[in-house]
Amino acid sequence: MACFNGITASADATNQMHSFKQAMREVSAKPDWLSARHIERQRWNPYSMEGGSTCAISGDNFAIVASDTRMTANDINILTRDAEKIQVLNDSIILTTSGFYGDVLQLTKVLQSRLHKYRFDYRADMSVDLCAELLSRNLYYRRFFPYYTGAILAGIDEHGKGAVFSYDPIGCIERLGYSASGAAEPMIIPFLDCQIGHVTLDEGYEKPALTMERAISLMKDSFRGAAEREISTGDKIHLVIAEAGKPIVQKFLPLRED
Amino acid sequence: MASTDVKNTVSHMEMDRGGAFDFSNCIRNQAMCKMGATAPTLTSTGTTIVAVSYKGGLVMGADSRATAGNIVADKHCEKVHKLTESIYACGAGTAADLDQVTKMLSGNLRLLELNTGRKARVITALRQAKQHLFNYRGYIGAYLLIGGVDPTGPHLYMCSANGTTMAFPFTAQGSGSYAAITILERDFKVDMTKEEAESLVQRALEAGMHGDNASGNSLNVVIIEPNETVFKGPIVPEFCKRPEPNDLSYKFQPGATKVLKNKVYKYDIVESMDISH
Repeated sequence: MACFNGITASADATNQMHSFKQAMREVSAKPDWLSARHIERQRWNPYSMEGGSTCAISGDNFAIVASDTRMTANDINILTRDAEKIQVLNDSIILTTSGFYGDVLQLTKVLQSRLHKYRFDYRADMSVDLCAELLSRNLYYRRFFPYYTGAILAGIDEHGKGAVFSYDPIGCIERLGYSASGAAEPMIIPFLDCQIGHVTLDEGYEKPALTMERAISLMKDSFRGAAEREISTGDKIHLVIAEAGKPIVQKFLPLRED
Repeated sequence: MASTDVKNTVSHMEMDRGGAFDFSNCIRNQAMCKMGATAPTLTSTGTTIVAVSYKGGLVMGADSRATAGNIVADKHCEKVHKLTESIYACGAGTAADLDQVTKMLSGNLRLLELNTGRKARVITALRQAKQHLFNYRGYIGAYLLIGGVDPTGPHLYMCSANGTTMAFPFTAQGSGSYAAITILERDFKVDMTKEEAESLVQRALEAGMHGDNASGNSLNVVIIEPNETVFKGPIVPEFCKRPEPNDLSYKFQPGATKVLKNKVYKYDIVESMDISH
């Protein structure tokens, strides 16, 4: 629970004790409350966080993307229960983004217009691998004034396989089997590590295959679990299913509203 | 006395003023911060608490969610505290402070009732709370709604952490108070019946739990009248229930978890003790 962090055990304990005693002497000579109070200045901050969580799972011939639809101000106040954090960019690419909603919208717009131009120039839809690289470059282009977003790009690649690409705010890209981003990421990732990654399962035990049905169920359950314990996740699950050779399906499922 | 002596005496006086808090680790903690340690942060509970007076009585209520940051720490915590048989306090703010302050108040009021042989008054509880909180200049993060019925009638007060107090016919506190107060402002009437007041409190709490992330799970209500106090709860509103159960069950086979490390310790029994009696 509450404890002091940050002091690491040093090999030279005597030395550390010596410096601690020195610190004690300095602090006793001039405690905080005898010095002038620091004036806390409110810095200009162009970013805000609107909460919510997103997640994506890929399989042999499918990719599933989900997010909740709650939008929150300051972790407490609910702005809307119908925010869409998933954008279907074309028949094989789905983008889901959490973080600062202003940047989420802008990033979506930028990608949509680039995809539109690509279609105009090449008379074909962009593939998910290409779009993944494009998104990475767009994010890194703003290296020193980043889009404050955790993006996940998912879809069906040129070989008909499911693909999930995960990003940090400045464009570090990684192709993964599954990924999550947003407020409930620390709850969803360990769950999927256990159920899809099987990281805790001993050898010789049966590993259930990741069928599309199982992936959808795991996706729903991870959001149901997150809504129980994470306050800015809730209201509805927006579920988007892409299967190779089939049109993309979108669904909304209820979550708790408190 | 030299000025350094005075300084030392003063800083010692500040550290051990007596009373409830022990400041003896203050200097040590500052030294630890100087060495790069990060101080622990307080957990604050976002809350919805509501109270409404009606003809001859008072209804108070609270949700039951306690949060630590954006995580629900407790789904069924008790925020309606009993001070005496007919005085209750609902609390918002720092959970530990609320527990301690209400515990102190209920103890002091009980002693007062035993010493005087009369029922304690609401104003007494309020004065105790505000003097304690003002002493600590807002550092005890307790925001209270203190209400009850005493021989002078029903009373409802709000007491904030820095010691400000106000009297109200109806009020709400906590992060969900904005949503709750809209319902109260719309539907409150003077001299309501008990049923009307109870339903109003419940609807206001539900608004708070619905519109505020840090409130929810279930609600508790207490109805205080001169001769009888009724506690109701936990009541779970429809929107606080899980709309769908989990798809899969997550049962792990015994032994399925990977063993990462195995180490055998060997002990020689040098001496044994009979602990059977």
